[in-house]
Amino acid sequence: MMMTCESAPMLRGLREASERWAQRERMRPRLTCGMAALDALLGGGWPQGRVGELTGPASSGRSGVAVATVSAATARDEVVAWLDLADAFNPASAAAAGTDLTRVLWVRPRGLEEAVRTAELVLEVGGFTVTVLDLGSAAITARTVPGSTRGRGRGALRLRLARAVERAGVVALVLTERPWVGTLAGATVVLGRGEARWGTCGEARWLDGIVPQVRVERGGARHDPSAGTGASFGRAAGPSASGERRERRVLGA
Amino acid sequence: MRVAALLVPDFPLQALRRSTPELAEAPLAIAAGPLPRDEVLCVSAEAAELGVRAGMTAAQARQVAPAALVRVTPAEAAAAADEALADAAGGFSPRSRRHAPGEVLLDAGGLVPRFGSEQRIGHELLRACRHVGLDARVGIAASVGMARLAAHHGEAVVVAPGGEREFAAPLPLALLRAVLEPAPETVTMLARWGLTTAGELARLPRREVALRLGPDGTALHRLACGEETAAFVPDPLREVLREGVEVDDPIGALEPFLFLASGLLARLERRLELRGEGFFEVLLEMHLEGGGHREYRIKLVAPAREVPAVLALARLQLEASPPGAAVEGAAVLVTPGRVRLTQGSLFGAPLPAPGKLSAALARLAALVGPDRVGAPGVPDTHRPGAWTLTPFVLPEDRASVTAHLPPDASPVSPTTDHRPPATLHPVLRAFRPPRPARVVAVNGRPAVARVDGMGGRVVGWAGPYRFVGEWWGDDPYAREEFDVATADGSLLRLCFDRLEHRWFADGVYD
Repeated sequence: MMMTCESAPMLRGLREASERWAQRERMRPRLTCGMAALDALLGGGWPQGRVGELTGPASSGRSGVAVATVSAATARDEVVAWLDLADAFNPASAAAAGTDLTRVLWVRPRGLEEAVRTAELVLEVGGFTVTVLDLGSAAITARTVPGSTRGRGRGALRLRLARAVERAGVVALVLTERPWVGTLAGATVVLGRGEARWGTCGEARWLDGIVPQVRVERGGARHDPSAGTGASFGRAAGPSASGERRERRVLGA
Repeated sequence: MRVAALLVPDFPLQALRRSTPELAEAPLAIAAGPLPRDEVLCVSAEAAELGVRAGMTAAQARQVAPAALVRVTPAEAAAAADEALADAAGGFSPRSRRHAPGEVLLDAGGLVPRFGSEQRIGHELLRACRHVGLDARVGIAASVGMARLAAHHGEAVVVAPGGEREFAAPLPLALLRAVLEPAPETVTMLARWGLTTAGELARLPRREVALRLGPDGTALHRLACGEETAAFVPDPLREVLREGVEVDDPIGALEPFLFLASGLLARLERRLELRGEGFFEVLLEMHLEGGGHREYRIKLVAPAREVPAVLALARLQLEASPPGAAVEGAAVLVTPGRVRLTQGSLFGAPLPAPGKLSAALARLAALVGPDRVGAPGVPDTHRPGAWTLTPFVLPEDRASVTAHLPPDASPVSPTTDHRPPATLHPVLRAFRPPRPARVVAVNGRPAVARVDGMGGRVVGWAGPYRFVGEWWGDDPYAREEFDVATADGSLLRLCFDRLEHRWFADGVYD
């Protein structure tokens, strides 16, 4: 495209607006994830007033990260909401992870649209510093559910959710198997299958933890929040945005 | 002892105007009953200008002033006004007593340090009465009778200790009669004697008055001398506040009824404010056309003085379950609760506003079902995977300030903190219901496991964890659980049901 004299000021204006927006995003207050390593990658934690997306397959640790965030919030005497479209929330497991269940509002909507409506109602009340929306596989299978929203309809749901979160000024985490919120997310964390850590004591053996493979694709600590950093921890997380394999860094080994 | 007496002049008139604000400037005459021969008890200034007087019959009042409205104060309105007056007094002292309709006594001892003077106490009491919609008078004295006499005498009268006789002396005997209500023959005798003031009665020897007038005369003489000694016994604290109204034209639509209910709730809100309390449990009673009756119970997650929130909850219930007939009258009964600050300290965690939260919970229950909203819990049982769902309530503030969780702390179990910083606690995503699993077991433990496209060869495991219980009941359980890691990276919780001899997957660790 030929650059004309008329387009140069416009492009300059767009660039300045983009930089101002990026600066505003960097200044946005953050809420700790409950994990120092992930907080460092996200520049202090989840951005408030924006949707944070945790994507990954089963056993990737996305639920563990969400529970860690929630546990940290309840430890600060805050109340949180867990909107469980996947109907997978396990109270005993969350309590064992440090969550104060008396400070958790658990809602089990039945469909994607109902889940977003539920999120809007909860966010409208205010006072829930963290709202987790566990979509499970619903975001992927929505098109196969009779009467569900399609294409443009799903985009409207994402927009409604993002606007509700922005109005409320709190942290909302969406758990999905594949990215759903997309560019509307303030932070996107992609997890790969984690490594099991086993505890032993004599002949006794138990599942002690999961070391996740984490990659921040959006909302990272450095550079433009919209571009992400590709930063990660855990086992090699596969090709980064630049196509290069990351050096293996296993924390906690 | 110091007693304050609150008196609402023309109480039936004020009670009706309080419950029906649109009659605030109407020429009203309040009758004792609905019949034409019933006596007019009190009249408004506008009706007095038209020539209506107390003591006329209702028929006479209508004849003298056809424009005047002759009404009977509904019992609900009178009871509500009476309770409102008691609430106004209760905001100053828990020791109060409802002496008569429109008259409340309270123990004013010990209030001077708070207000500075008894005159100030009197003015604040009158302000509190105006806040609940009543124009009252107040008298403060050393005894019940003297305080009541003072209230009958003026708007805010304080009788200094030791000055009771001097205060009462110039007062007309009619005032003492209004306070003590002696028998008609005693009144007649006093008139025959030519006595017109309390001072004149006080100069008579008490023994002679007692001989001729009996106990009534003795009581009048004591009051005139400032020696009345009736004990002040306060009423027990009320637990329920009530406001009610009856309508002339039955209401058949939701919006007009909610408008009516909002007036009742607003009056209750002002009374609750005096007590420092809020709506906690609300019972909405509806008297229906044809004699029917409906009740709706509303409970907030925490006490709050937010009328819109209660109204929103009432709307949801009425829309879900309409009364089925037009409404002729309604009453709202409130069990109050102490209103908490939603944020106990400047640095405390923000919490949802109780009123908004209650309305939102009601909407969520209507949207997803009441059995799918609440606070999760772990019951006291050994049954694996058991959970409970209870109504969500705002948690109590912790006794001590909870330290912020350092950002570099691990999400650790309360009992162990050995995990390295980047390790997550294994959180189970439950399968509801548990999913059948295809398992190849070797020596009693899984060697290959597949569930819904996940799984494969088992590369790590822990278990078995054996659970047996409730064998005495209808739903016993006996199972062995394994936590397994499979070659594809899945971490599963498998369970072998020893009663059904089948493998299940309870969930996947994530």
